[in-house]
Amino acid sequence: MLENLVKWSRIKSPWVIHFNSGGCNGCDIEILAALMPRLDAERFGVLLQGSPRHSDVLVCTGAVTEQMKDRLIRIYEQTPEPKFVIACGTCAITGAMFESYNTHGGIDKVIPVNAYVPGCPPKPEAILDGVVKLLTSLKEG
Amino acid sequence: MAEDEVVNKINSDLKGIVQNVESSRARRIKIEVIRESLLDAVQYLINTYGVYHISTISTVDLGESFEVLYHLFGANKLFTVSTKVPKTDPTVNTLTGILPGAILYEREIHDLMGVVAKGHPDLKILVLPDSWGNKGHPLRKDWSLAKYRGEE
Amino acid sequence: MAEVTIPIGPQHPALKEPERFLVTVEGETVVGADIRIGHMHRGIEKLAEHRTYIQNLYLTERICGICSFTHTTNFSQVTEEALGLEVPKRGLYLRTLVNELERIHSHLLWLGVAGHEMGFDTLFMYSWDDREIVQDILENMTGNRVNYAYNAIGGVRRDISDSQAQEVLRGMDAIEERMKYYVNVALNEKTILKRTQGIGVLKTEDAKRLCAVGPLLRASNVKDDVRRDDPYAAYGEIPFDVITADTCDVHGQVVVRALEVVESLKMCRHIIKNLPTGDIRVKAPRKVPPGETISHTEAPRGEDIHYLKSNGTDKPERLKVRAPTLANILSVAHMLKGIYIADIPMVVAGIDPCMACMDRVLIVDKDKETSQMVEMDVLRKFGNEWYEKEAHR
Repeated sequence: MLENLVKWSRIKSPWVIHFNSGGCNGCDIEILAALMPRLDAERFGVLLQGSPRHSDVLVCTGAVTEQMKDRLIRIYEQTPEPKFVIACGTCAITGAMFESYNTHGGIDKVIPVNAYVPGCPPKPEAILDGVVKLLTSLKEG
Repeated sequence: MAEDEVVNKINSDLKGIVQNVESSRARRIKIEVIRESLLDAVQYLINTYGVYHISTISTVDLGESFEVLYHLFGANKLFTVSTKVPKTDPTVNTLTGILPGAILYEREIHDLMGVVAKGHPDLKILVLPDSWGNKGHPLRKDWSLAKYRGEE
Repeated sequence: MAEVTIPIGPQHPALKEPERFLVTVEGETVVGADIRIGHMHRGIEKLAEHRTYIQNLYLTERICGICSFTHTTNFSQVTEEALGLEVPKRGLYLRTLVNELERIHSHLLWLGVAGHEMGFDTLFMYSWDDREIVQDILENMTGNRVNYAYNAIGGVRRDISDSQAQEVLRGMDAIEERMKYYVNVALNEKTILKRTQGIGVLKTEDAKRLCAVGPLLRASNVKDDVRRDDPYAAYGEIPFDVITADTCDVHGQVVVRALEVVESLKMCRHIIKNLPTGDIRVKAPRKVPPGETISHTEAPRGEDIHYLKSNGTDKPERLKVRAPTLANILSVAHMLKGIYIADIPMVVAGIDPCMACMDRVLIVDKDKETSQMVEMDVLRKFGNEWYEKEAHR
């Protein structure tokens, strides 16, 4: 009974934090655009949070630069359990074209990832779809 | 003022300092100097054409030497002051005394190409990670990703 | 009073150049600021040397996701000049059109972020909603909302149809209507005036000395604009005013950006009405003869410069890129001196470095050797409440 309540509330109010690990900013403005009045992610209970300690879902973009790697791990560790990670954009998934001395080639090289949203950048609708798919899988699993 | 006039004027005013002045197209002027007279040439542009804006500093690895290019914008013209420095002694005089805007760009070329600006107030690391250490200067031609990864 | 050092950042979820400011404060007043950038250094200049010119077009597009078009414009220009290509007039006009549309969307985006930083979230939502009009036009014209892949070496990739041109004009009308409100807000709204007037002062001579660029420079009453001083694409043929403000503070930047959008709307209309007929693109050879070329453009944030040295192969010998935010960082460090902690987010957001701004602040007390992590949100809240509590000025 209580478990169901917790699960229900978790699905209905996923608070997200958005973290750029060295991307071009394209995905980041699209994430914000998904929260804006036109698409209004808040109707799914999605709220953008500034602090990892208040968040459930970590939306990451970028190919993870050397300088941001430790910070990404730290942000991940600061997020309370249960936590979910969405890798948003092609750079976050594979590192894309940025295979250089200063990048690590994707979020999942550094922290575990639950959902991938491809695209360069993914459209706000796609990002929202990724969040909804993650929530649906929670409901089932 | 046509570009040819500017080229001639610089040629006659800076006789003995410049090695070559040319204009590839409208509003582009390239001035080649030896590195000892770099500051004189830049100071001349500041005094004569009222240049106050340094756009950036580029460096090119030419094999035995580096070419350092200072892009200055003023009087509706993009001046490029270029000088060559040998790889064995990659130093230039700092511009920060006459153009404070060059501070970050000189730190950048120090990071990525290893060209040292003598007299710069603080040549600490700018774009590379703090843990970089002395793993070389990535924009040099003899620096390669494979070599860097192999050393890891 | 004891001096305290506060590092701000470096987590700065935006732009190519997130910076970390090490701010030294005395009580509430900032006395010094140091800069550490490079957290998003991806080694693009090295990557460019290993890619062909066509591939580099896509690489340069991804230097920055907001002003991506200005980077490809620059890269196309340096390559075209090295190749000696003459781009058809229609191609140049279309390139200019997208450049101006990008400026509109970027400035609206900034206006929203600035509103967010000063606790005026209504403005944030309004301007981002209106920004979608431009995004729709861009998507219709180019196929994508961000990273349009519209530029090609030798021209642009897609032509514009009559119905698309009509849609651009309709969009411009809609935005112009809204801009009346925004300009009014920027000039008269009490929240904006209180949070921006006299904050982050950058005097004319300091702006020149520190080589500031873009709206920051123009807000310090320097009439410099690459579009006018070194016309590229079709800018030489399109009438426009260079907007300046003489207040030399963050409020000046708000006004300059708001009025620049109005100016850009006029330019877009002019381009659509005077669009030349003909080809949009010429075919470019793959190999570029040896030479060196420089191109700079006026990005939404200021002067953006590319330097190319080619060597006769299909890959560049060297590509140097300097994006506008790097040029403005020195000015920010200067502007931070003498302001209150509560104003830091406003001043840093003023140069338009990013969106959601920096993430957290670390307060280090030198005497007690203790440190305290503060989220950026908390600092923003602190700033807003600080202003609510008392009339400081």
